[in-house]
Amino acid sequence: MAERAMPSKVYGLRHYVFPRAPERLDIAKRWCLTDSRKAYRRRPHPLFGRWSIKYTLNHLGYRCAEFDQDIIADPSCFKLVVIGGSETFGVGLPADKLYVNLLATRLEHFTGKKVIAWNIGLPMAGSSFISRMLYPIIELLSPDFLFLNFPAHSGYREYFNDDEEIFFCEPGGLAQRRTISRFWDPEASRVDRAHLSLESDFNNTVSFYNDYCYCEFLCDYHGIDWLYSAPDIGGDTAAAVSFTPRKRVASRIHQFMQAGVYGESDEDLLARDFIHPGILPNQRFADAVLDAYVAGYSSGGRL
Amino acid sequence: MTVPASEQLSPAELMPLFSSVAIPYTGHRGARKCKWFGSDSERHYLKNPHPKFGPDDIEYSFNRHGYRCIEFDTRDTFDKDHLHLLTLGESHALGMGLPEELTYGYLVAQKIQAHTGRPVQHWNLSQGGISAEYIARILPTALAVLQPDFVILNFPNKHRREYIFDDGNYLTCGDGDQVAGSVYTVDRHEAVKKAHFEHAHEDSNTFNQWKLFIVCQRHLLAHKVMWAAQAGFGLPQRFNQYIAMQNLSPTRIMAIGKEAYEDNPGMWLARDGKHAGVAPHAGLADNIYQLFVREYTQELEQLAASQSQRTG
Repeated sequence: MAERAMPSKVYGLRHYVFPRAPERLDIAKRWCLTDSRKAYRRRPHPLFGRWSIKYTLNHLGYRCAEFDQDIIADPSCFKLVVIGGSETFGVGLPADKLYVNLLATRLEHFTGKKVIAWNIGLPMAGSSFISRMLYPIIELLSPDFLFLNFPAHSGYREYFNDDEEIFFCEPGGLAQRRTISRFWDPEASRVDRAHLSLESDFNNTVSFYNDYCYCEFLCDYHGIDWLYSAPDIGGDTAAAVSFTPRKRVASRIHQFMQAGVYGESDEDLLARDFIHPGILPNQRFADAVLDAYVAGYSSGGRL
Repeated sequence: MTVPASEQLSPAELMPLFSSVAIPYTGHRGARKCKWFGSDSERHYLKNPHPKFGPDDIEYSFNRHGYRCIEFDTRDTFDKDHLHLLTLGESHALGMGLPEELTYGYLVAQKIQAHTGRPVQHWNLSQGGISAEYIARILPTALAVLQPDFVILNFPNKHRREYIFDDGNYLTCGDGDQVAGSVYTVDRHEAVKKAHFEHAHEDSNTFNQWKLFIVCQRHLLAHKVMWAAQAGFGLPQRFNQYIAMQNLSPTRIMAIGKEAYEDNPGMWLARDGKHAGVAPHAGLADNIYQLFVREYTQELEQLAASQSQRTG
């Protein structure tokens, strides 16, 4: 590939450039990837109709307010930033039911400040997306509280072409894996096939662990209030695997989705696509993150 | 750790990731001694004899896991007097085309030994053709298992990426035709290279190198070891805020003593005619030793003082 004199925009390595979300993501006004009209027709959700959900994105492609310089510079405003995958983006869920926004409401009560929630979650985003976004987020958004929600599966990856287009790839073997037409989108198809041919549990674990360590270093370096949620990685988790347990939210959002555990029905537990977390898991996850935040950072306590 | 490499090993045994007890096997595992290795081949030598090293002057001695050092399970047999130096890098650090006692890691160990009066064991976990991912993968495990006092990291060029397969074997692809694999991965080289180039991206490689250096730095700081590194990032100045620049050796090995020795291949190049020879290794060893003395003056003085107290 051609050498470039300057680092590209996708990495946010230039001053004052916040990376755009990939334009190739299939997000329409009312439907998004697995939360499709076709899937809805096949299995309508009892709580969400076809008009219940609106995916409103800011001009950079994120499902949140614009990154307004006045808000960033306003000390009376509490800035919450959440980075993650489709659960954070809120596939199949209205924005007001999403844990990011519920957490913002809870933080507003807790801090007594106006909370602005910047949701940097994208469907199919993985740990490499989180690590790529972290530097520009810290530099340009100056968050008061940063929550990193690493996806449950560490096989999600992102790749780039010379035109700075971003390709998100899913792990192989996913039940709801999207199909890419070799005919309609040959480049994405090639990137995806290359991704699948290189994928292994070992690579996924190494990639996730390195991304986590990088994020931890940067957050601690900047003295940010931060927490994370992440899957367990296999193998010997003794001294060499030095995750910071005190920064970890004990529960993962998927744990709240397991039917029968709390005696709720699918409609409460699942989003409109019957794949992603629904209303109750989002509420409980927001509570869990707030509890961890209060335990770690309130009344002068520092994790 | 005591399983003979000749036995069939499971993927988890071959590639114990981030373990605190077991270091992963390399692609040329199995304890052995050989006269030729990698690019330092007999065929090349017969065509291009080296002015300084003959066919019998170099011996590569690998442990069961495939590293150019003694067996890892001997680590527990050292007494407390011993200091341990870990070198983790690419083919220069491995000492391709050089006797072990002329590699810069070994020479730094000797200098520290002379400085502190304490014996220093050199653990060389370097491999030819590796990527920054290899260093970041091996380092946390090596720190836990070998508990070194000193660490030297030598980052290769940023275009190299490592791919580990489900069977526990791995290979590295770089720019151009460069593939560093093993007999266990040879059937996959072409397919992996094709996929690698589908994903290759200049900025992705730049960011990856920088990120993995930060990851390594995090492990080193957590283990409170004395360390030095060679690496280049090619990023704007402001990214240096995260890097302990004082721990970086500023000169790449092939640039050391270039003017003085370029016309003297016996000193300038190793036996394979590609890698750094005696003079660059000695020069880099000197640079790294000076870096240790400058950055860890107090620690080294303490080590020397406690030794002289012990020996009276």
